[in-house]
Amino acid sequence: MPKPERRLFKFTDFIIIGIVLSVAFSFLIWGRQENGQPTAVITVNGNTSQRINLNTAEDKIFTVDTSPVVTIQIKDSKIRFTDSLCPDKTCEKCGFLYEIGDTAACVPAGVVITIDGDGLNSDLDAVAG
Amino acid sequence: MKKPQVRKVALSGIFCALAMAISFLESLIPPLVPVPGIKPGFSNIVTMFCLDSLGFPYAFAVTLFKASFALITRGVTAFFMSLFGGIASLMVTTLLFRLKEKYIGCMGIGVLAAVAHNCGQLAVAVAILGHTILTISPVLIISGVASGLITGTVFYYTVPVLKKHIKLSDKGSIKKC
Repeated sequence: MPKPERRLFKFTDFIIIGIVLSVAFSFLIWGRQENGQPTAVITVNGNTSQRINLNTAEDKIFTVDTSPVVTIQIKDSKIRFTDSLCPDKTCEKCGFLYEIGDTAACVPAGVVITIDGDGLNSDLDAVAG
Repeated sequence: MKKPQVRKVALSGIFCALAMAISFLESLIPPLVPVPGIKPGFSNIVTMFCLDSLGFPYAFAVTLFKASFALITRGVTAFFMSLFGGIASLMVTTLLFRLKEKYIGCMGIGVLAAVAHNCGQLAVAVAILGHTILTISPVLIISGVASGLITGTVFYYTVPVLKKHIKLSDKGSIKKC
């Protein structure tokens, strides 16, 4: 199907990009309303399995019993995936998480670590809706 | 049913190879978002060009091929992410190509297609990992805008050149755009 030549940039594109970016920024502001102590929330297949207050947590290394098994390390109030037995290792490349809003996930194991404020994470539901 | 033309089939094969090469190059870039499988989606450019020159069925075939490549190299979750992201962006691109050129430019199409691609992938991530993963959505949308600007620009500059050199129909060449 032959098509008329399309311009690289039209004025509507500005509007589109503006709307998309403002949606993104509103999510960003909305999602980070929670303050307080950074708390690592570890979810396994969508269910919260542990909440760890990072400021008071002791340095340790532990595993989450999933398949593949995931190893998580807490050090200096920071948390990270140290080892995952899955092929693509993306979660390990994320490094330490410590600010509210930081997220890392190991998709094959279904494990997500999010840093949240220590309140209830009701804001997430607002974003989801 | 019309017989598929040999040239079109051959060309879509080339597009598949190109999409594969681009996904490979993309995997060398360090991940923007800490979720495996979610990627900038520069191979969208191939889908866009395929849709523009060959039409929807061929572009769909390329999308499926991309997903099966992800299945072989990166596993089942990557397959679903590639598939849903690819289909979402294909749908959006198809609809936007229908719009008259005075309404929307290449960059707008690129951006919306990339954001749709990321949303499709995010939907799969939510299905697997639960809603906590939605905290990455702002990063994902912003990176989608960035990669969309790139794909839109690349599309704009490469399509006239490619169209000039590719004969689509067995009878005579296609019109220059």
